[in-house]
Amino acid sequence: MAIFMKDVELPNIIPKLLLEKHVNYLISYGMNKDDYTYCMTEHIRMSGIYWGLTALDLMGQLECTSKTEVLEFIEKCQNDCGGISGSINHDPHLLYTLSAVQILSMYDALDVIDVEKVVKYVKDRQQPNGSFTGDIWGEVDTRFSFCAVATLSLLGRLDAIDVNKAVKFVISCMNFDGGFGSKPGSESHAGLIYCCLGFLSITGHLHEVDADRLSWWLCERQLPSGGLNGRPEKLPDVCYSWWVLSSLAILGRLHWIDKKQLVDFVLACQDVETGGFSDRPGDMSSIQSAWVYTKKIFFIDWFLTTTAKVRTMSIGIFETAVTEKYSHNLAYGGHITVKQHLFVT
Amino acid sequence: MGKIVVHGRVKVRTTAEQEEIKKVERAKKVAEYKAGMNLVFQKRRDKIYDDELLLVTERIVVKNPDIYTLWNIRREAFNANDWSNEEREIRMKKDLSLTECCLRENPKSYYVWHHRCWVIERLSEPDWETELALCAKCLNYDERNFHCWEYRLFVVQKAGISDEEEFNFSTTKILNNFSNYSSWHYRSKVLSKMFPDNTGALPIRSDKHKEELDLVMNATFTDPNDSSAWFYQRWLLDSHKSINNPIWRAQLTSTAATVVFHKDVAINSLNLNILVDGTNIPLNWESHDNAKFAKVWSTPPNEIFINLNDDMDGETFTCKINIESQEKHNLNQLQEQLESYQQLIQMEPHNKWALLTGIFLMRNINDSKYHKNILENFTALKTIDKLRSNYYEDLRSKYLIDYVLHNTWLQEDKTNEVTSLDMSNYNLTLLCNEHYLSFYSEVNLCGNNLGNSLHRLHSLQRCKKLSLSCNGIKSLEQFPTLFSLKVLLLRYNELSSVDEILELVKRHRLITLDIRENLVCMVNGIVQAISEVSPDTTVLTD
Repeated sequence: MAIFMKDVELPNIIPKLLLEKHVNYLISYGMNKDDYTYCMTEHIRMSGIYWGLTALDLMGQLECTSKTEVLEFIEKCQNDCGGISGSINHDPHLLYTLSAVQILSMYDALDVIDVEKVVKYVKDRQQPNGSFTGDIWGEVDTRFSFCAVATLSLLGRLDAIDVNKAVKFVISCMNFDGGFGSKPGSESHAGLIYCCLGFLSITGHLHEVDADRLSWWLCERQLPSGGLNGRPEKLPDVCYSWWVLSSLAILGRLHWIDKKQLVDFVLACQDVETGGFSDRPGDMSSIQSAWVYTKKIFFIDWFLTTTAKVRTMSIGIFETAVTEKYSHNLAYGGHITVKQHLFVT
Repeated sequence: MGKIVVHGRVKVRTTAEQEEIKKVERAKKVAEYKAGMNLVFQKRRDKIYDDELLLVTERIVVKNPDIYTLWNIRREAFNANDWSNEEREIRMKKDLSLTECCLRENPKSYYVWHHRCWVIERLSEPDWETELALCAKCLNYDERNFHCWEYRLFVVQKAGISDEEEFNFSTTKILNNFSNYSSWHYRSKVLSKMFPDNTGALPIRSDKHKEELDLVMNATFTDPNDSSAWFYQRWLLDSHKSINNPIWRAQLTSTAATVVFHKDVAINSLNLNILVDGTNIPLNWESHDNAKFAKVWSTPPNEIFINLNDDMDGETFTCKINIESQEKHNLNQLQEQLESYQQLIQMEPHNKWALLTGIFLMRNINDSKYHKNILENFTALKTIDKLRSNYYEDLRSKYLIDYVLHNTWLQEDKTNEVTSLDMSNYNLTLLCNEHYLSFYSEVNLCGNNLGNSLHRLHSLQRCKKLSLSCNGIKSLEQFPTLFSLKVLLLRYNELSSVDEILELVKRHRLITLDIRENLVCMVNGIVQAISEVSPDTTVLTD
């Protein structure tokens, strides 16, 4: 049988980090409200704003966007039931409720929304078996378990739900490889592993994970190109740099992948003309990838840089929060996820 | 143009003319989209769930199936309209076709799969056979589509298909293509459900386990570079120790009690009593960092005073619980497999998977006998698979610690003494299972590389003499406070901060501190600075 490796080849010349272009890419995104891609992604606008703002914040450019505009938008997206929608006229959903609460926490502006109603909305999503539905239409997924506890923990209201039942459900999604899928029986996937680890970190149940087994699976996501894939035998994609890397960080095993090779892969994914990042070298860039990228680069830097040095880089509250928890993370698998979303604390 | 998320779209260079045409086309699409969405939202506000609304939502979702609100509105239409049962059924079936149409465009849309579930659950007589056929078609197209696997599982549960049938399905899938991680995953689920191992020593019942090991070996030999089967194999070979009693050891002195568990436990969930002469002593248990779940639980120092009997030596009382290791593997089979994989390694010396599997097999057959060979495999792995060299270093450390602890415990059983532990000169990169180090008064960790594991020393609360010489330690920032520590050897490290050393001395009552051969010794007046903080400490410097 022929040896067929699912991977990509990096170009010979790898561009440097083009920070300025990325800032411009993010700022100009959404300038033209009639832009095709912008319009066609209307329904995920809330998350798009979160990704864009976090990336800008990491690059110290948060002031480049209109805070007032963002806050007004979020206020309009809260529904009577308490949930927050992806955009005006669209329906509330846990995915966008979390994004909104994350943005507001970043701006320290939670008073823009009715917090008690958000808490009720999240609480109402919990099912008798501990799982969460994304909205009133019944789709169950571990992503929503994560959204629920991340939202509530940012609001300091984890007590509103049955945490033990919620934990039981997430644990029931654990697989033979130590990873997690979206429902009981579903295959492991790096994105869902991130959600479940984040969930277990926030709820203080990381000890339920077989950290060595899962971290092996996670570090095996790195391919010879240096890029990471999200499941065995799949192509690498920049977005998994975030899901895999943050999962390994939560488990305190970030050093199990090769930093330099990964950085090269991500740099090669830059769009040198427009700024932004594509999922793999040569593809089109997207706002999610830009977000993932900037988080990731700084994340790696954070890992290998002393606390003081990272602080002087002043790359946003996210970093500060993480560095403050540096020791904690290495010791116990840590609470990075909690801190990551608890910008304000 | 169905998929808006740009993942996987290749960027192509276009001419100015092409660009212009595309721009006009896109502007037209945007206008159509906006008009459509405005109409839908207006009708919804007016509660008009008519055919026009359904038609417009249909047109948009076919192009962009991830606009979740439109699916919600379609479902609202089913709830709002007073259709006859027949008409409702026809319309539901039309929505089934619509989802199929969307899936052809984008087979990975969460919302489309969910809508299909919603619809089919509401049909009076759902045709599960058709659904299974749809799954088969979809998996033929992409056998890793996890959305489809999930939907298939949903159908299987709803249709009441037996585990046996699913077991056979997974066998067919795997025999058809060994390189399919999704199938192996599914197989692990079906097998765990059908044949659980009641002893807990193996992931599945031993007879089935034996069959699976043979099947997976066949797969790994068919395509040794595909990772799928190797992951499944590791699941079969990883240790699944069954521990009935969660307590490893407990120790009681006249002023302190410590209990060490094999696993993290929440102490208040256990009914843990310490009886002295039949009387229950009420105790306050604390964990390191006040963790809710921990392996080591102790009473706060000097909080209790117990009169221990003379026959307990007035010093300590240690309760040891030995684990009966339940070896359930078929050793002959493992031995045969080991020989086969050694042949594979000879044919393909750079096959990391075979080298790693060799380690698991040897550990399961006889850890001590193959000790040297296991370490040789690790050395080879670090060279072959450089991306993961830190992983192999840490795994090697973990196995070595297991090995040393195991041998130390065997010795303890003979001498009945638990005092010192020697883990020196192993080049350990990681300290793990540190809870098993809780009761040693002397711990020698010299000649390792544990600079990043200092925080894990917190379990050494009974340790009086600790050697960390020659460990490449650069900083003591993570060094925990060790209540009993008197002698600390830090020779031959890379310590450079006086403040860190002073801070450490302040937190302890050290008799001896050895910091020879460290950069920090070059600092003038370091000895005096330490003696000012702790006059009783003898400091060894260059």
